[in-house]
Amino acid sequence: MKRAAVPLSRVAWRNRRFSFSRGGGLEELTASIEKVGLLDPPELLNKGGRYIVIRGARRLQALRRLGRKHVEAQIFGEDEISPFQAWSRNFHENRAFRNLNPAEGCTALRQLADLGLSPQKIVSGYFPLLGLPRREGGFEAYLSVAHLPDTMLDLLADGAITLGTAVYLATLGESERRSAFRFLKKASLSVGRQREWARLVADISVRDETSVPALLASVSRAARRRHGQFGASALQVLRERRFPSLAARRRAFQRLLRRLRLPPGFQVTTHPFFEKGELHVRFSASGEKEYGEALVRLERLGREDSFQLLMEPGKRPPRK
Amino acid sequence: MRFPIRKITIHPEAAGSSVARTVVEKCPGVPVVTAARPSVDPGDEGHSKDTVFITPRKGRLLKRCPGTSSYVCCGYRVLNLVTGCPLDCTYCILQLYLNQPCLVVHADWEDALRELDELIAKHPGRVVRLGTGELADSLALEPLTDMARELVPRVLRRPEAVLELKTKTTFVESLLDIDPRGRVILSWSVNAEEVVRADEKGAPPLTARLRAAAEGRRAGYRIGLHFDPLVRFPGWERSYSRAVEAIYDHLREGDIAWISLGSLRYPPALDAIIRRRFPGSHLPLGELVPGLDGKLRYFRPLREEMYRRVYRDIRRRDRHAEVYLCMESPEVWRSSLGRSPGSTAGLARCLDAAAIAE
Ligand code: SF4
Repeated sequence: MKRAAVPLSRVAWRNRRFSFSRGGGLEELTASIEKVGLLDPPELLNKGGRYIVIRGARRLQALRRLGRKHVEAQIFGEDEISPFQAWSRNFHENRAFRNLNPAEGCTALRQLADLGLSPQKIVSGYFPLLGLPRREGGFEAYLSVAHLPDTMLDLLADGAITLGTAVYLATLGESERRSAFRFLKKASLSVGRQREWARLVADISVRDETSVPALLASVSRAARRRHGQFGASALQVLRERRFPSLAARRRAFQRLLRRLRLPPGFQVTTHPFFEKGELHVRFSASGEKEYGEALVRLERLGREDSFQLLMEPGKRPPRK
Repeated sequence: MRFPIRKITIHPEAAGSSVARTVVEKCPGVPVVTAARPSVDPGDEGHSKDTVFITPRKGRLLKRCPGTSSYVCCGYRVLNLVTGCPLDCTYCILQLYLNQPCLVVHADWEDALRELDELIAKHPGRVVRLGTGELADSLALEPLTDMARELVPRVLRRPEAVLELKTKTTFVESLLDIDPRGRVILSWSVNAEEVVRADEKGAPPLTARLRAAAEGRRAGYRIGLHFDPLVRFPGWERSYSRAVEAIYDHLREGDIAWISLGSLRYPPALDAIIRRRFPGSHLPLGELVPGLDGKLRYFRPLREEMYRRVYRDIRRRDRHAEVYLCMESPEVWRSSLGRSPGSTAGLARCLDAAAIAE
């Protein structure tokens, strides 16, 4: 190993055999290098005059941002360090200071596989260190996440999409993935809702034998016709398509309620999935007189056809 | 014919049991290990289905059917002599319940008869309906264990007891020379052929089950049928009509003590297991919503539609069989069958009467 100044133009930026860092703004690091200089030199592997990053990928990016042409680095020759040793140096240095984010975890897993470690060894020896939850079929799923395009991995690293969503995106074909990704960006769903989104899209497309792009295109059209934020509307459209009978029943229930013209202060609800033919009527009254009047109204309400229908969720309510 | 067994583990305390002897005798060439734990890889779900572990029981063997108070239950008593099943149905609840990753045979199963005697003594004069098909298929291991063959005569010595053996298999041979005296019901879980093919891996086709039922009937057994789980898929109406037709091609009105109808339902935790173990299955894609007991089940009007339709088909062919719903509310009973037993006790009374009706 020797220390030398290396032109940044000779760094093999795309070669990510050993480095996996992703996510988190570079601003702070760039500012600090600008102010106090580079304290810890990156480590590079000299491969026939091109330099593969072992450690310090983010520092190198910061230098490039600062417009520097050279970097003072520790250089290893190919005969000085094995690929696994190079990977381990970077991995353990990172792990000493922080936990890996899921995009980094999946990339590191892929690197281990590329280095020839068996899936069993990776699962038993590295899963907890990579910050990846154990799950059935996890190895293959995470490996496929590591092959997602950079834009998606960046979103995963920043927490804009969940690991579950990334796993789902990785199961899709190229064009399906692109349309799903476009949709997700536009919908800007919270992390919690992405999970539901992925499950709904997967279930509907399999059940209806529809391609993901076709499904999402029609959901987008339907969502745009509704009021409100696109993501929330799209999710609602998906829910209704996934549970069409339940959605129809809920719409019918609302229609009946509207037809009843409930007096102010009255509220009628039922079991969220109509499992029980029970209605819950709430009203507020201040004072004995108001209470008596409310009871009279309630009695009148109970005699209305629409009210009776509300109690028989199995029956199809008549349309006006 | 039997399901393939590749390994037998016998707990040291069960080594001298008669069931251990029978199993070993019936599996020549299969490696036998004596150990306090079965040696199976718990991650390997398929492998566990060909490993038998013979062990003393832990806890009581005779229990109440674990129905919930939100729905009307059949009020059955379950004898857990075996846990685990060599079949592999997509919807099987055992995937969630069992933590022993193999087929467990309780060596001291005869203790269950003592528990049964205690129960009979507590409720003199009452019919006790019991079955062995809650944590296992009642007959799937019969060619290995002869347990049903041993159990039937012992139960018959107790006049209050009615035994139901529920299966999807055709393994009735060991029972055909026993006189069931009208108090043993051989039951089959039946379904549309599409469901059998897609979601009952390892189970014989419907017609094979019905041929076995006809054989059982000829030997004097009364027959029970369980359309459970009813599954919705494109064309389910005609498929279930065909299944009902097939039943009466093999059995006559009067042969059948009862027919239960139950729709697909399972705890939410099973959903992930089904998706993982059976990625091609359409079962989780149904319109399943949480019921009163928290289990996922078809949205109520969809269940009612299925019950009405299958009930109508049955009643066209059979006016006598007691048809009941499994784990449904009185409201669903009324809107589907036009009547309701009102409660678990009410349904239990109907089934007790049907059990001794012959
Ligand atoms: S036959 Fe019954 S116990 Fe066996 S796998 Fe199927 S559902 Fe489970």
